[in-house]
Amino acid sequence: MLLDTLLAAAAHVSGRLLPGLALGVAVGAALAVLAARTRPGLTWLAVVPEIVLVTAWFAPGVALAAVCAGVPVLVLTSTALRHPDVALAEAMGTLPLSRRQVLRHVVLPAALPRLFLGVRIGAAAAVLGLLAVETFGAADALVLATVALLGALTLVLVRGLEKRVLAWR
Amino acid sequence: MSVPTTLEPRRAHRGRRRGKRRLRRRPVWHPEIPEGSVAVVTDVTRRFGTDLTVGHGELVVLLGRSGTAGTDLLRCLGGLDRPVPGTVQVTGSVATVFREPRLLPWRSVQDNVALALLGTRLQAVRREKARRVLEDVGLGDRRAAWPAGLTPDEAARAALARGLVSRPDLLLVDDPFAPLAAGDRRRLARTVRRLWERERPAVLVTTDDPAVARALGGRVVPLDPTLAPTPEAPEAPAPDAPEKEHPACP
Repeated sequence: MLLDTLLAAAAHVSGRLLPGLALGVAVGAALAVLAARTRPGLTWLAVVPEIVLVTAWFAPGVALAAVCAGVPVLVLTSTALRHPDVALAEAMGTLPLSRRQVLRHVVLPAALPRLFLGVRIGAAAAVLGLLAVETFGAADALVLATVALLGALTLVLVRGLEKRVLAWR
Repeated sequence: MSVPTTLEPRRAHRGRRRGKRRLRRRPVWHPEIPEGSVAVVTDVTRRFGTDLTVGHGELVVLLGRSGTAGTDLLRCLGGLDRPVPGTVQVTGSVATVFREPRLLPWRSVQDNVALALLGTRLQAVRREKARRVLEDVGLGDRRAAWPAGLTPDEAARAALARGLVSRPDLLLVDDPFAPLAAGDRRRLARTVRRLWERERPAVLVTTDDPAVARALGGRVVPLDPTLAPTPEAPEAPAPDAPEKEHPACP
């Protein structure tokens, strides 16, 4: 009985949190590559309070999680792309690499640690956003607890993935 | 490739440039280099204290205390800086080994070396060439290591391998010996000597250690210690200033 409720709550929350996170990270990272070429930058996005979007009922569920996760990914990744390691960039400039090869083998991998930092911050923000939605939606305490639990679990997952991808650190 | 070139960085008059664009520098063709030479540096006496011609397959050691003009000269030859005043002409392919290893931390040692071969289509060929040159420099068993796990000696050798793997006509070696202990310095110098004898690229090495110069052999060009490292620098270091960077230097 309790298990059924718990599972339903978990499905309800993870159905919003995980797709939202994935969508936010994908769109945020893609936009970051474009944003790295624009001036002025997009760091101002970091101060947009996602919670405002909730109260406006502008972005419930998946879209809310995506916005919450996407903004830090976008800001941090584009910042990393804008500021490459000058000594490394110079050394790579002496090698016979095409522009695409430089992007793929040098610039993007260099931005990965910041991207993961963005994912971790974004996941936490997405959980907070969902909590707010559920609170305003007057859901029961079980759902709120599940949101918190799944949020923590997501962070553990992201950390594990990061350790694997960034093994060179 | 035997078409003569002058390497002239084109950023001088363009103001601030972004890092990614800086990677796109390419040589300008320039047909004025004498037969039998791979690099010619002229009219730069005021800045570097010496003009210089490097013949095909020649090993030249620029000997001077750290902070003198050796690094600047190599940067001009590598196309990273512009000599003002004077001209620098290079023919054929050039590879640079920097003072710091400058390996990509997210690629294994072998993949770092193979990076210099990305023009070669087949990955298996790139890997095999990288493997061979890593064995030549004594890193055969460290191919899969991350750069962060290398000792300074191993990292310097990996950087040397990355310079050698593309078989350049001119290899510029900017004192990778400096951060190493005295024994490692001489061993690395002997490795450079051995590979030069086998492959015969033109090699231009800077060092401030006479023992390294002896181990390298080749033609030694002394650099003027009174010259400032760059034109902007206010003054050269005092001759009796303590050697901070290289405590192992005899």
